Amino acid sequence: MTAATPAPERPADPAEGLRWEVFGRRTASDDWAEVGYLHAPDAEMALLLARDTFFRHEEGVDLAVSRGPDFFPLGQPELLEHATDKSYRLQRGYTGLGAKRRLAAARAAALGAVVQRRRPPDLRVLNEDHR
Amino acid sequence: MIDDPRAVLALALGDDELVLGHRHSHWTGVAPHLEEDLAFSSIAQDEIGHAVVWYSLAAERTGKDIDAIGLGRPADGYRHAVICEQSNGDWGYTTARHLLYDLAEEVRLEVLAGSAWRQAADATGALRREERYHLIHARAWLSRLANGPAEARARLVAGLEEALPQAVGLFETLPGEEDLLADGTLPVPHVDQLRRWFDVVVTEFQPFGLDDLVDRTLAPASPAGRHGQHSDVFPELWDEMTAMYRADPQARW
Repeated sequence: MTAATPAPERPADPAEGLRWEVFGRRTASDDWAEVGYLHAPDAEMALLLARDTFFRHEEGVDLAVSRGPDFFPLGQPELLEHATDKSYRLQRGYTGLGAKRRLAAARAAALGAVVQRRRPPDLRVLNEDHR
Repeated sequence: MIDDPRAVLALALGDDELVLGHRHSHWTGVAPHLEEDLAFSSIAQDEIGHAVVWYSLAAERTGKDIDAIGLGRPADGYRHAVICEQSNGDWGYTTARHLLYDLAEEVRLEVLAGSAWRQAADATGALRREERYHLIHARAWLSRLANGPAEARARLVAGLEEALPQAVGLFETLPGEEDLLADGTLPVPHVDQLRRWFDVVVTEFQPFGLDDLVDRTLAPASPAGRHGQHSDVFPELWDEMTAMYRADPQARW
């Protein structure tokens, strides 16, 4: 048997998958920029998973995955468009929080409830200890 | 109880999406790997987003609030097919149901694109764009499990054997279907949509030698999900799915 056609590359640990670098273009006029990496068994799966790992929040108009010299663009930029309302994934989807909080406080007061701690405790100092 | 035939159609479609989307979301945090966790969670969100589209049409027909339609009905007021409420089981069953459901979506959205109910026909456009990605995702898993190690294929086959007889329930005749057929709201009866779906599924399975699993004599049990009759796993799911809404139906989130 000759080695004319190499066997498909297999990850050392099948559960882990191969490592793929992920690239994106912010707008149509931008160049490719690396956005991160992920693990997947092959290029097609890497492209599918890159879409949801890195491009769920309108981060770009095109994506590609790369391994060594091989570069695989998605080639279907429409797959990155949001066809239905996904404002819940975006910061701008959460507006009017002050008004909602005042409304909730007024309703709570009308029910006789008292909000003693209006905000969750600030955990940043606490987390310093765990760095 | 909502009984306007067009509203019933919108509820059947919306309830399928909401209940299956909710089940899909149970994989969040426990999917086979991190990237798939995100991908499948996104699909869950997509399906729930599709439910919103159908509920907005039901809201138009009935004058009811969209949240009350989506989350304010008693368990026996939901009209989804029973397959949507089944527990996730393993990844083999989940993948089997994901594929069979999204193939059914393709069939029924293609039919509804020609509906005389203009808003329903218009709604199919955006939904089909997302369903295209869902099918790419489902097919990617189909080929990898079907051609994968023996255990992967065995689990996929077991999942398909369980899901196929359940999936035909997606094509159960609706209450009021004769009215929907008469005025062109539903251009093709569900019994004929089922035949189209069998063709699509067989074509899909042939390359993997799985088409023998498809039994074309299967027919939907009726009355079942479309009439509000569900399996014994639904009350618990309903309780969880609607708990937040029921705690304070007037709340604005």
